[in-house]
Amino acid sequence: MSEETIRRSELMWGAIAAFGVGIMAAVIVVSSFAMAIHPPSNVETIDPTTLNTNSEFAESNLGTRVNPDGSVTVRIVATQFEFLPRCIPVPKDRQVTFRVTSPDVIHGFLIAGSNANTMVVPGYVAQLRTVFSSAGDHLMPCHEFCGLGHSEMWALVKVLDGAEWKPDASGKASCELPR
Amino acid sequence: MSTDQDHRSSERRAEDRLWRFWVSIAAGTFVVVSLLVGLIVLPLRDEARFDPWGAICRAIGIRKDGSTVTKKSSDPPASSVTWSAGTRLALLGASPESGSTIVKETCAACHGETGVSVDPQQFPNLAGQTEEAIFKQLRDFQTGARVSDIMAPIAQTLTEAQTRDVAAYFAAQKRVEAVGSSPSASANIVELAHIGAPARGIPSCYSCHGQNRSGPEEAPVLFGQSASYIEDQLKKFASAERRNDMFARMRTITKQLSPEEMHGLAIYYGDGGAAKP
Amino acid sequence: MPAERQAVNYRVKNLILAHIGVSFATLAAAAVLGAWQMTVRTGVNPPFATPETYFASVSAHGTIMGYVMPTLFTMGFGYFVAVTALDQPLPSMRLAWAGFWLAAVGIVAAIIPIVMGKATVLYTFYPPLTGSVFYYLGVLLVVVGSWFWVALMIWAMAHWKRNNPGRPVPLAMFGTVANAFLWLWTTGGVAVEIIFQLIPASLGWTQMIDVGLARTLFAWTLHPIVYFWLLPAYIAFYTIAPQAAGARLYSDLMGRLSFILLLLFSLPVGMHHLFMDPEHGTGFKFLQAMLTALVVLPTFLTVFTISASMEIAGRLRGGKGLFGWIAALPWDRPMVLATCLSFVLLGFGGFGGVVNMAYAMNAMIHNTSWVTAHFHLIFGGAVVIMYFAITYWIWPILLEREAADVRPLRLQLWLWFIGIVIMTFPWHVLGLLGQPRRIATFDYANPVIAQWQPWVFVSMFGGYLMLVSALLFVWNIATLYRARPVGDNRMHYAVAVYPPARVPNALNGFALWNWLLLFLMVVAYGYPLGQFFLMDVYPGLVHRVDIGS
Repeated sequence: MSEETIRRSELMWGAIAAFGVGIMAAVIVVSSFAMAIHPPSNVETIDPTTLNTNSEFAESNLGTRVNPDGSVTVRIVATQFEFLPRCIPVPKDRQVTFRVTSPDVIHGFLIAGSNANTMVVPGYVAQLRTVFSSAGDHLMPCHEFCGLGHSEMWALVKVLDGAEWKPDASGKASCELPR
Repeated sequence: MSTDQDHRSSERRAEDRLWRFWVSIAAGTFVVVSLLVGLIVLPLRDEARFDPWGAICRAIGIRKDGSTVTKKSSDPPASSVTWSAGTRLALLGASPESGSTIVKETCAACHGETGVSVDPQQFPNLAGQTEEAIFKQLRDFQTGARVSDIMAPIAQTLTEAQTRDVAAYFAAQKRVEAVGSSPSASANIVELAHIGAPARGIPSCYSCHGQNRSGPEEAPVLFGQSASYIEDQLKKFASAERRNDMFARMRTITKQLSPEEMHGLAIYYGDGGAAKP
Repeated sequence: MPAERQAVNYRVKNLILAHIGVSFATLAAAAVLGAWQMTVRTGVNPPFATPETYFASVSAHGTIMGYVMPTLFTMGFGYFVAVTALDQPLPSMRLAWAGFWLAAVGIVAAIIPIVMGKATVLYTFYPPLTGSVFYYLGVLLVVVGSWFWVALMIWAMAHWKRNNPGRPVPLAMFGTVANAFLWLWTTGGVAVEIIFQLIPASLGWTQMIDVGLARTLFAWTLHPIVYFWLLPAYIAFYTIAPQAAGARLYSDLMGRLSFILLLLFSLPVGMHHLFMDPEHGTGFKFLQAMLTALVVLPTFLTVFTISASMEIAGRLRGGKGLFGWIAALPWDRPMVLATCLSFVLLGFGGFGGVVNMAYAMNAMIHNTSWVTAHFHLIFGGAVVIMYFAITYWIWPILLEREAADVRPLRLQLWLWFIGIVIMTFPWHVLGLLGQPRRIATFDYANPVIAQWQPWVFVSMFGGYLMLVSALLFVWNIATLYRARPVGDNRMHYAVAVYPPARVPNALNGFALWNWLLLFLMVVAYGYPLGQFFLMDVYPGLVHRVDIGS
C-alpha cells in the first residue's frame, strides 16, 4: 500500500462524505420548498406580565372559534400548571390555527400523534397551523419542564368529524373532560 | 543556512495564503448559498407575489403587520393584578411598620392584631401568609374581582400602597402552626397533596402551595388555615362562585375534585399537616 | 516518532487519577438516579417518588452527566495526553491543581442546593425558572476550573512547538487542543447567560429576564458541549484504537481534518435546538440547519479511517477475504471491542440525529423521548463506552499494574452496550408516539397513551443493565489496585502508516480555524442574538423556586 493509494482512497471518501452532506441538505431544502413546511417562527411579541388583562387571551376568548371566513382558530394559555382550556374540540380536515402563549415560564405544546409542536415562551405568541385528517382524541401534554406540577399539565384535543363538530351561534366550540 | 531558512519560511507563507484563500472561498460560498435559500428562496415560495425584501423580513422575524385576527373581548379579567417587576419591587419596598398601624385600626377586629384570627372558620389567619397572596386578594376585593360584602368596603378604604404595607406586616408575623383537631388523612388525600393525580390533570397541592415556591406568585400558604375555611373556598371555586383565580387555575382543579376529596384536603391542610409523611 | 513510547512521569499521576476518579464517582451516583427515574416513569411508584424528588433527581442527573462527569474526564485525559504525547512536563502543576479544586468546590456547591430542592430547574435551567445562586455559582466554578485546563493545553502545545519547530504536533495533542478551543468557544454562551442573567436574577438584583436571549445563549452552548464530550472518544479512535488492534493509523491527515471540522461545525449550529421556538425567524434556523449537516463530514472521515486502520490490523493478523479481517481482530482487547460497539452506537445515534436536524421533520419529535434517546445513544452510549475503554487503557499505565483477567472488563462493556440499546430503542418509538420527555408520571390507564407503558417497561430494564455495568466498572477499577505490578508505565500511541514529516501550518495549529469560526459565529448568531436588542421584547418575571413560603 503506497502513500499514493492511501491519498487516493481518502479523496474518494472525502467525496462520498461531501455527497452525503449534499443529499441531506437537498432533502431539507426540497422538503421545505415542495411541502412549504416551516417550523413555527412567527416572532410575535406579547407582554407576559399583563397577559391576564390582555384582550385576545382573555378567559372568555380562549378556546376554539370559527372565524367569519370559516377558518378555525384556537387560543390557548399555557400556565403553571394547566392549559386553558383543557379540552379542545377541532374539526377534521380543516385548517386549524393554534395561538399559544404563556404568562409565567416556558412551557411546551405538543399534540401527540401529530406534527403540531412548539415551544411556548413567555413574551411570544407561538402560532402554528395544522390539519387533522382523522377523527379521534389526542393527548396534548406540556413538554418542557415548568415546575413541580409539570407532569399533570396536559389537555385533550378532540378531532371531530362533520356530525359531531357543532360550534355555537357565535362560532365558539367547547368540550368537557370526562371526570 | 539562513537563506535556506528564509526560502523555507517564504514557502510556508505561500502555503498559508493558499489555505486561507480556499478556506475563505469554501466557507463564504456555503454561507452565501445557505442564506440565499433560507432568507429569500424558501420564504418567497410561500408568497403569492414577488417581494424579496418582504421575504427577508419575514424570514428573520420582522413582522410588518399584526396580520393575525385579534378577537377583542370586553370581559373583566379574573383579576386585574399583574405580576410585573413594578408590582414586585413595590411589594419589596412596602413598610410593615405603617402596615401595623393600619392593621390595628382596620383589620385586627376580625383577623387579630398579629394575624391570628378571632374566628378562623370565617376569617382566615393571615399571620405568615405571603405578601403576594394578601396583596392580590385585597386588590381583588377592591376591584370587585373577588366578591365579599364584608371585605369589599373595608378594602376600598385602603390605598394601593396601604394594601402592600398591610400585606408586608402580616407576612412578617409568625404563622399559626395548626388549627382544629387532627384526624389522620387517608393515603389518597396525602397523595393528592404531594403527588397529584396525573390521570385527572391535577397537580399536587404542594407544587404551588408548598415550601419551595414552584407555582404562581399569588399561591397562598395553606397550613395554618382552618379546615372549614379551606373547604368553603374550594367549593366556591368549584361552583365558580369565586372566580378571581388567574387563568381559572383553581376553578379548573376543583372541577376535577370530588366533595369528599375537597373535604379531606381541607382537613389535611387545616390540621397543619400533622399527617404529613 | 518521539511520541511512540512515553513514560508517565512528571508527577502528574495523581492529578490525572483525581480528575478521572471524581468523574466516575459522580457517574456512578448519577447512574443510580437515572435508573430510579426510569422506574418512576413506568408508573410503578418506587419509594420516595414525588414530583419534588423526581425533578430534583433529573436536575442532579443532568448536571452531573452534562457538566461534571465529561468535563473532569476530558481534563484528566487531556493532562495525560499533554505529558505523554508531547513528552514534556505540564507548564504549571499549580494551575492544574487550582483548576481541579475550583471544579471540585463547584460540584459540591451545585449539588447541595439540588439535594435541598432549591435548584429544581433541570440542567438546562431555562429561565424564568430560577434556582439558588449557589447552583449557578457551582456550575460556573466547574466551567472556570476547566478554563484553567484550556489554558494549560494551549500553553503546552505552544511550548512544544517552540522547542520543535517545523515538526507536526502529535495527533493526540492536536485533537486535545482542538477540544480545548472548542470548549472555550462552547462555554461562551452559557457563561454569559449565567453571569449576566441567571446570577443577578437568583440574587434578586433583577426582577425581569429576557427569556428569548437566555434560550439562544444556552443553545449556543448546548450543541457544541456534546462535541466536547465526544472528542476524547475520537482522540482514542485515532490514536489508541489502531495501536490496541496491533496496527497503524491509516492516515494522520484525516485525523487532523476531522478534529478541525468537529471544532468548526459544532458551534454555529446550536439553533437547531430552537427550531420549535417562536422567538426566531426561519432564515437563521435554516442557515444553522445547513451548517449542522456538515458534521457528516468528520463523522464519515473518521469511520472510514478507523475502519481502514482496523482492516490493516485484521489482515496483519491473517484475516482473509472481504470480511475475514473483522473476525481476525483481537476482540478480547477492551479498546478494540469498545471502538466497534461505539461505532455501532454512533451509527444508530447518527440516524436519529438526522431527523432532529431536519428543519421540517423536527416537529414530530421535538422534546419527545426521541431526543432523550438520541443524546443518550450518542453520549451515554458511543462516548461513555470509550471513556470506559480509555480508562481501562490508561489506568493500568498510571498504576503500573495490569488486570489479570480482562473478561470482567469486556463483560462490563457489553452490558453497557446492550443496556443502552434496550433503553434507547423504546424511547425512539415512544418519541414517535408523542411521549414528552421530562415528565415524572403518566396516566397509562388513559386509552390514548396506554400503548406507551410496555415500551417504558422495556427501557427501564435497559437502564438497570447500565446501572449494573456502571457498578461493575467501579469494581473493575478497584480490583486493579490489587492487580499484578508490571513496572511498565509507557504509553503507546498509534503511529500512522506514513507518519508525516511535516504538515502545513493550517493542519498544525488553530489560528486560521479560530478566525473562520469567528466569522461563522458572527454570521450564524449575530442577528439571532442581536434581535433581542433591536426589537421590543417583553421580558418575563423571574420565577425563583428557592424561596420558601
